[in-house]
Amino acid sequence: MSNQIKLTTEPRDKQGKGASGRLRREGRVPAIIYGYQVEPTTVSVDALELYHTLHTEAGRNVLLRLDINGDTHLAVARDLQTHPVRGDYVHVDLLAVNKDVPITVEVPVHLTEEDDVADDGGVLNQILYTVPILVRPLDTPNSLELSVEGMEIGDVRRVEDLRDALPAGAEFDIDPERTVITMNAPISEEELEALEESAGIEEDEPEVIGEESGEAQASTDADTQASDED
Amino acid sequence: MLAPKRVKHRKQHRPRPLKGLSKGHTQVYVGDYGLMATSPGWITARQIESARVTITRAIKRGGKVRITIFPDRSITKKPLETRMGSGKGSPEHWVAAVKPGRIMFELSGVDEELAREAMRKASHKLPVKTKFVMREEGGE
Repeated sequence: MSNQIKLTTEPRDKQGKGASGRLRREGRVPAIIYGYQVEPTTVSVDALELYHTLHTEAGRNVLLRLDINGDTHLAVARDLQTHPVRGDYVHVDLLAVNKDVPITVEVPVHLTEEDDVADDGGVLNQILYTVPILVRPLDTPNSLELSVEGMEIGDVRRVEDLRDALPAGAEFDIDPERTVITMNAPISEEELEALEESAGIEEDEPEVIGEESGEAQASTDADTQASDED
Repeated sequence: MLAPKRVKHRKQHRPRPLKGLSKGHTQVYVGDYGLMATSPGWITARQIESARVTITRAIKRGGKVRITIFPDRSITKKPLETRMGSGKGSPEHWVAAVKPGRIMFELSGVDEELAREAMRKASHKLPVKTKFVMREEGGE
């Protein structure tokens, strides 16, 4: 990631949900800047500008250029809070970074050559969609590409297999033995039939913790029902 | 069908009317696509099972379905034509209390068109309004 995007921030003095709500209704997103050589400062950013900033090729790992009190700082977006249903941004942390000190970033894993997997009917099962790496902010890659060419049933690709895609000086911030993707055998006809059938109603009542058996309780219930019908 | 194996109490208080938005599992975490609730409701174990079967039939053997809700609230009911009183009824079924924003099903290993169709069919089996969502690209 070499390009930096300028993000305009405005200071905000009022905090709390009332003031933040008013800001959001005006089309702005409350934010806080903290980190390298910056005192924690509450600011707001334009919601649309933030959206476009975070939807470039670099995704959420985009490097931001902020102008704070006349000084320019580099920052990355952290802890992006979104509305659960609408998905619009509710709050964002802007972490000021030193361009020479490595930071941890979650980089998405992209699969390549998906059409060239072995023709044995296997199903790709991706387990890790992002991999955390320790990298200098200016060297952050947009994504890590993992080739799945020639994968057969039972084959596994691990974090270690992504090492060639890492930029110089970067390190994994995760166990390199962790599995990224596996090629699973397809389910058999019998298994598919079993899956497509609805599971029957289970008559068994769940076990009650601390009780010897459910029979005592069941008989009490039956008594109350009987007396109820009288 | 999904149901708890062990419980602390056989009968629970009736869940209060659901207010607010979901606090957890509001994004697709382990799959590529998801079905999100956009209105609150109780989803019974039968409805969850029915939706699962619908998705499985739609995608055939291609993908993987994950259910991300669990019916852990017991709902009791008194028998028909019974006088009031004499205590609480017996457990009738299990429900999952779902608030807007909750991802209920996740799907991976299929293309978007098939996933949309499978989720559309599944949504007809559920008592809440839903929308189809995709996993957000990128990390922090």
